[in-house]
Order: sequence, then structure tokens, then C-alpha cells
Amino acid sequence: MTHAIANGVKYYKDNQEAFRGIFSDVSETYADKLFAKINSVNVSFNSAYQKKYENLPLITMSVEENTDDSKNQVLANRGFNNSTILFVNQKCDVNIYTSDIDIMRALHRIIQTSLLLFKKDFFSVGYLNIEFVKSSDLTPEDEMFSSDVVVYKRMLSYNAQKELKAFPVNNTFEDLNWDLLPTIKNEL
Amino acid sequence: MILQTPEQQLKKARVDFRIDEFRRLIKQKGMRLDWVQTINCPCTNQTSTDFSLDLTGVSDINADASGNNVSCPVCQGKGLVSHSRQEILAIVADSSKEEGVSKKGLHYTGKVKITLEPEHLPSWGDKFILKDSVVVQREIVTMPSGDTVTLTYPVVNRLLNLQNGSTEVGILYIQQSDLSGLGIDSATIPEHTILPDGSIQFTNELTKPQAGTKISISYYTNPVYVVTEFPHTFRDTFLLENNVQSFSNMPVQIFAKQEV
Repeated sequence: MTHAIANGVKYYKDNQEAFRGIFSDVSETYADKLFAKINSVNVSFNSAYQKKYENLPLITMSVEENTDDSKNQVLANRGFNNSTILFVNQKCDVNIYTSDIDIMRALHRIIQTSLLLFKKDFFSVGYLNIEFVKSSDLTPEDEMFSSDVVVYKRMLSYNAQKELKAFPVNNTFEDLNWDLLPTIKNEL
Repeated sequence: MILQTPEQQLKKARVDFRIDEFRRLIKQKGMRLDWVQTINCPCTNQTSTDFSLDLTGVSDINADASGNNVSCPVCQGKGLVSHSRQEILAIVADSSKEEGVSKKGLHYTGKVKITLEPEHLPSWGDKFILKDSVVVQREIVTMPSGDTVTLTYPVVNRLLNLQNGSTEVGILYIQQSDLSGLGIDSATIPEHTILPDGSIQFTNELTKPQAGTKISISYYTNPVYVVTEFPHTFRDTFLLENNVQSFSNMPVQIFAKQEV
């Protein structure tokens, strides 16, 4: 997510036409002003809970994982292609921190569209689906003050389904012998 | 209902605050602070093309709901303007700082209590830069081309009483990395000097960090505090001096939080 969003921000900062395209619902004058503004700042990206200070604007990510909703997956099932498969549901929170409401508006939209831009790349590494769930409203970040006084926060939440594969050592699954021992008399 | 309270003897065992003595104490014991006042910017979106949505069939008006103008040359759309920076003296007490890791990474909450002369009544968002005190700040920046790095806060030299005598120190350490993103194992700090604006100039071409690499710097800077709380909005009173009673503005106390 960090990689995709950072590259999405760079893509839209480098491409004014594309930026206008994602702000087609506002006047072009305003979109161009947002474009100039987002190009005037260096956005910091990181996963959440890092042990270092980050400059604003800042985007951080955190991920939690749950079992698949289907309730019937078996952790050691044989799956396909001789691999064991675990289906996981991921919930990713993308946090934006900035002291500038216009920057917040631009970054919020860029994150949404960046994940559309790079959706197929997620699919190619084992994701089955990526779904935008919600974004929180604009709130001041308590206990945090910047040179512009107030720091604002928004959080976007995404759900994703991912397929984790583990390949058995030495094809041990093929060695499994499910035949009953011939010495056992199983006649009725 | 009219609620009359009893008359009182006004001069017996009367205690009066000596505002002039308090002012003298501030002048004697006070720390030097730069006080930067804050005001809201009156900018708005004034033309229909400035609005975020251009309505059809009507000549758009600004209904005073469009916030600040993103291209305002004064506030850049942020809505607040700093003005009237001046150096004052004030009593600074109860400074504290909590640091921890959260979703936004490592961050801190610093607090301080400041007592000011009545004329220096601040408002929300005003800033105080402590000029006599320092804090340790840590920051990672990308080394630009050239030999000078400007950090978020200006580096200030602190006079340390060391074994070899008084020594001015501004930079505690610089950890360098290479262009591949790996840290460089070196125990030496590149030779440098602190410029008057608080930026760092590397003075040795051989030890200067390479352009484009990340460098981590631990340095001293003057803390900046933002006014957030007014424990006593005002404490004005009447004082009796030389048998003459007069109205007096009292000292002001505020709580402020450290800028990140």
C-alpha cells in the first residue's frame, strides 16, 4: 500500500492532466490551484508505529488480518497446484496527517484513485479483491500542533482478500497414503 | 429578585497584589521569548472560477462558506496569519514532554506554563519561541546538492561546561547513509558550521554527505509553543496603594503545547 500510494502521489504530481481528471467534479481553476499546492510540498510515507519523526504532510498505513468470511477454509487443505492455501481478509487503514485542508483534499482523492490505478498489480501478487470501505471525516489531531497550528487527520479504510500459498516440502502431500492397511480385514 | 450581599469593612486586614513587584520579578527572572501573534486571514474565494463547483444557470456567489482561498499570497489558504513578532520576558514553568509511538510514528506532546505581563495577553494559536532554552530535536533529511542543509527548526548552539572548558555545541550527531539506503558505519560527525539562520554548512568536501542520501541529525533548537489553554482568562482586580484604590490588570497565565 505504501509503495502504491507513494507512486500514485508522484504520478499525479508529475501529470497535471491526470490530476485534473480526478478532480473533474470541481472547477479547473480550483483543480489547478490544488495541483500547484500539492507540488509545493514533500509528502512523507511510512507504515504506522515507526520509531522516527516524520514531517507533514504524512501518510501512514497499518494492516490487520482476519480469516476469510466463508468459515469453511481448512488451514492445511490441499488447495490446488500442490500448495496449501490460506485465504485472509486484510483491513488496511491509511492515515493522512496535514495542517492544510487543501492538501488533505488532494491527498484523499489521490489515494482513492492510486489504488484504482495499480489494482492489477495487487492482483498479480495474490490479492483477489480490494475494496474501499470508508473514510473518516476531517478532524483535528489532538495533542499535535504544527507551524500552521492545527494538524488535521483523515483515515481511509480498505478491505482486501488475499491468497497465501505455502508449497509443501518434497511434495509430502503426494506421499500421503490414504489406503487402509491391507492387513486389516475390513470386510463386513 | 434583587440579591444584596452585606456591606464589608474595606480597609481592615486588606491584602493587595503588588503588580509592580511582580513586573520587576519578570524582568529579573523572566526568560526571553519571541511572541508571535496570530490572526485569521480574511481571504475568501471571490470569483466563480475559484469555487470548487461551478454551478450552471446562475452567477455563482460566495456564500461565505468557501473557506480560505487556496492561492492567497498571505496565508496560502491555511486561514491563519502570523504578525507582530516581538521579544518579551516571561516566567516559564512546568515544562514537560511525553514521547511515544503511534500511527503517525514517533511523536511528542510538550507542554509549558507561561506567566506574562498584562500587556502581553495572547490569543489561541499565538506562538512563543523560547530563546534561552533548548530541546533536542531529531530529523531525517535528504542531503541536497551543495553543502548546506536546512532543517525544520534552526540549529542553535548551546554552551556546555565540559572537561576541556566551555564548548558551543549545536549538532549532537549525524548518521549518514549511502545511495542504496544503507547506513554508513562511521563514528565521526562531518565537519560543519552553523550558519546564522540555523542551517548546517558542511565545510569539508571529503566528509560532506553525498547529495541524494538520507542523513539523520540530532541537534539543539529553541522550542516553539502554541497557545492552547487559558487557565485564568483574566484576573483583574482593584489595588490599594498609598490609600488610593485603582483598577489594575493582573499578570496573565497560559498553557501552551510544543509545535512538532
